[in-house]
Amino acid sequence: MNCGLAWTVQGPAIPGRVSLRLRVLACPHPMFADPTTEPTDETLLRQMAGGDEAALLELHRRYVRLLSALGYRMLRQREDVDACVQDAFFNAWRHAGRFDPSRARAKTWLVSIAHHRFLQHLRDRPDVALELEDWDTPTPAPDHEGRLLAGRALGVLDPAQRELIELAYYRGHSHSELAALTGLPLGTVKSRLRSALERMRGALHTGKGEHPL
Amino acid sequence: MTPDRDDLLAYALGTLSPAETARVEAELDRDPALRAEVRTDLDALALLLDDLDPQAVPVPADAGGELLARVRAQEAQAGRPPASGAAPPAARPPRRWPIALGLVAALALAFALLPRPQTDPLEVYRTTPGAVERSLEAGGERVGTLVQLPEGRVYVHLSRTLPPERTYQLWQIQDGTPVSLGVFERGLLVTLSPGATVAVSVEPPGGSPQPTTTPLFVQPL
Repeated sequence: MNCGLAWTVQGPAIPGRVSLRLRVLACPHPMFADPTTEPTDETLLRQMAGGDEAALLELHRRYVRLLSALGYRMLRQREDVDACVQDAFFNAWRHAGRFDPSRARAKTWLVSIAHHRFLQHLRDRPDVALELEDWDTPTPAPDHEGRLLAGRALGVLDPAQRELIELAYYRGHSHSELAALTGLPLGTVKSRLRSALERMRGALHTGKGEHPL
Repeated sequence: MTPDRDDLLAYALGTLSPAETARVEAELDRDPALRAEVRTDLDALALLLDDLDPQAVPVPADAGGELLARVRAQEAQAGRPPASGAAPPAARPPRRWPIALGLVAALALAFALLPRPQTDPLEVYRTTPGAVERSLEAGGERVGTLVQLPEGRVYVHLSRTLPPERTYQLWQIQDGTPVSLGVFERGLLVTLSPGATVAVSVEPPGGSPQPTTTPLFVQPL
């Protein structure tokens, strides 16, 4: 049952205008809506900015597996992944007050912090890099049974686009590095990446992926 | 020089050099439309994570406790009082501080997503090609501006400053039910479908799962 205050939509008395009326619902807590509703990620970041450790732990609970999965995809070594994931949350805590929802969703912001941390680790530890021929069939780390789901998001890409996007995102290769790795002209690399992103952006609006809001 | 599409894409992918990154960030600070482009790129790239299987990866049993211990150690080192809201951490020594000290450079790219001093975003959005501006009114008085931009982007800007214990929250009305689009202090950029109806209410810090006050206005697009 809804709790607290709610809006009731009124008919359009004026063309182009809709009015809402606030109504009071039965609720043991007079000021706030249903207290059992989970706070949004954005709310957690705001609470973290105020020093709320419980909010940090909740954000960690929600995303530690996702960030770890990203880490395994990029680094393949458990100890490195665990350290980098902790670094990502630690820095999210330190900089939560600077999060701006108009620039990124909370999840995207957190993923970006972790992604760049993993990339930095790859650049600091070139020995963990994979050769191109290894990349087409990713292998899970030996100490976990990683598996790839049937490509939902990447299903919108053709194999050539997918290869480039994965090499760029997961390995951090620049345009020129991709051209050298694949033997493709630099212009072809750029155009394939552009068209791949356009398809993925399109997937945002067709229900193939999570809604950007 | 305005970064081109390839630059923005490389920026979102994290593949630019530090110098190139700094150049793109300077432009992002100046141009909300570019920031919106990058935001959409990041959302699209985040779809890659849908192909991962988070449940298949091992996570240390007390990863949360270790994180909390590290946070508290850092706070203590900085001379800050302990924060509240969580149980006492497990008594484990914080690990990998040396790694943390080297993170500043590593996070430079990610921090580009963070707010910086910038020019008035409302003015920039107003002057974006294809922008359509609407006045937002409450009780017969103008309280803000809504700017509709190409590709379904909508920028809502309110002119009144709220006290610290209150924040604006933007809602989309879907089948008569308000769905939160986020909280903001001054302006918020969102992407909406044509014909959507939005509203703004004043809420406690962090926003509310449901609106707790009468909306300032309701605006069909």
